[in-house]
Amino acid sequence: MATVTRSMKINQKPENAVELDGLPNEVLQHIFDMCETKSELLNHRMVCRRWAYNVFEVLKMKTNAQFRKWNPIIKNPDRNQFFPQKIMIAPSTSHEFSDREVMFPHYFTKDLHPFPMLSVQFVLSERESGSDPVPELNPGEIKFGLLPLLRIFGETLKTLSLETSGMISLKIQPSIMFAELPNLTSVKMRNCSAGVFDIYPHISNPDSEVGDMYTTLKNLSVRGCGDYLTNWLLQYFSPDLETLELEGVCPNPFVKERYSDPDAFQKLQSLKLFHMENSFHTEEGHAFELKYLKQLSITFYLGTAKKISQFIYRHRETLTELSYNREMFDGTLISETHRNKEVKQIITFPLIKKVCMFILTDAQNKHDTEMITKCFPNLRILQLAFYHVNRSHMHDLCQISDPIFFNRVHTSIELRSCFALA
Amino acid sequence: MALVRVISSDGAAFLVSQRLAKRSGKLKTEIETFRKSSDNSEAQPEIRIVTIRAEILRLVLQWLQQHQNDPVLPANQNEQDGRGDAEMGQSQWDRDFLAPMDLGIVMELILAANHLEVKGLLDITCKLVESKITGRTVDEIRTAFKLKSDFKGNEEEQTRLENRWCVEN
Repeated sequence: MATVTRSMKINQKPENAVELDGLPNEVLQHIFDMCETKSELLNHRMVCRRWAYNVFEVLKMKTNAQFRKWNPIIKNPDRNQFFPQKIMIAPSTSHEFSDREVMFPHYFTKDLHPFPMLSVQFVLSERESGSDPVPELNPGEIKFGLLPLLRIFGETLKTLSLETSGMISLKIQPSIMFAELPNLTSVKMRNCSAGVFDIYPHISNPDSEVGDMYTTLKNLSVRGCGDYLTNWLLQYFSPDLETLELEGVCPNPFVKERYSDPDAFQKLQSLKLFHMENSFHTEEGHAFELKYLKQLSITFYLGTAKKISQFIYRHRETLTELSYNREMFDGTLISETHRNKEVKQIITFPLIKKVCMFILTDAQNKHDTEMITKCFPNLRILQLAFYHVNRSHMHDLCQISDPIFFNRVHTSIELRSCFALA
Repeated sequence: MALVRVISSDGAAFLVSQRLAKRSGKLKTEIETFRKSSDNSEAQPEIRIVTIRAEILRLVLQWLQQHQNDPVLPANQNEQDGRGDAEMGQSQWDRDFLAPMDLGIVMELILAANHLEVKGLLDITCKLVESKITGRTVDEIRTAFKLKSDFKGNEEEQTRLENRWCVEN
């Protein structure tokens, strides 16, 4: 906190500063404004507190063009490089920055406000034991605390990508973080965990902080973030989500009893599930019917096919695109009779135009071609992604007997594990 | 030709054309105020500048005389385009004009230009001062401008660390 006090004092107008060196502040700022380089201007901060104050004022006044010229993280005029691509946060010092006025807030706010599309990626580096707590920055990186940074970008930020390389703590509650992002529409999180945030106290009472400020979020992608954080995010955002990516979250998130809001997932149009083997086994209660689900991708599911086939079956009337691995789903609904005997029923998807089938093992399924033609009568695009196949199997799949079928379907083949073909 | 009498802080009077005087925002305002308050439209305005001594006022008027046909720069030019026109407007005459002046006179000229709202003169004098501090170390600047560090505790070191974040490689 000592740092906070110091920084604030420097940027405050010192007393009796006007006559300090004979020139009023506005003239001093006019002189500083003529500096040719940023380093020269920053050098003037070091002279005395009054100069530091006036340099800060000049920095605030700098126009967008000048800022872009000087700012190393957005100086590239290329469209995709126009905004900060990588912002490093030093976790070991994040708590020191968290309440601190960052150096150039007006630069950012003034410069970024006109741009509605902004993607900021926070790359959090794990502190190495015994290393300098303030890591050296590479070109194009800038270091801030998470919260002040969000306060800078907050109002315009549409996309937040948060990625960590390890178990770190930002000492920030996600509700506070999202409160700084009133216009956020997309969130992507990778390798974060509950420990990154301080969310445990809120799990027990999630409704206490649910508010309108979250209703702008439509796209959520959470992978490798653990059950706590993923479920916390779903509790807050599920009613308004239109696209969702999840990985390995347990228990099954698509159970009505787990949500106080009955509208959870009711706007969902696109769903991608990765490694959800255990999720569907834990399903208890009533499953959500996703009324508007059009795109579904369920991959690398190697458990029982029964639960997943039921899940797919529930959305057969709305799906237009389906991605799945062949070992998980064979186009049939597996149901049980009262004599505990499994019965298979072929599912027809009348609206599906595009299918991507992942073929993980080399076990031939002679029903593949038949299943494709029967399940997807209106198919237009078929993508086959082979992981472990032999030549004959691939040949069989590509020579599906019905020529009429292949006259109207565009088929592409992707080899994802070529060594398996040897 | 309509004239205006401009009087310095030490009592020296300069008789200049109103057209020339109006190139100063301050003098223009004073002249217009005088016109509104005066019953006699032929009366000669008299403006006393209590903060500018004769030597400096003479230099300002000399600069205005030289640049009487230049376009008048708006006072907020910098805020509009992010860059002053100091470099663009600095002629050889300007350089010769400023060359013999010591820094103390330049400082007074800056204050006068600022007070009289003569944007072009303010720009070139500020640019001159800027050129005097550019490339110097902090200690050299302090010495040249008789400034003392008034940072407390580790403020200076902390500011130096902050600067490191922002300096381009």
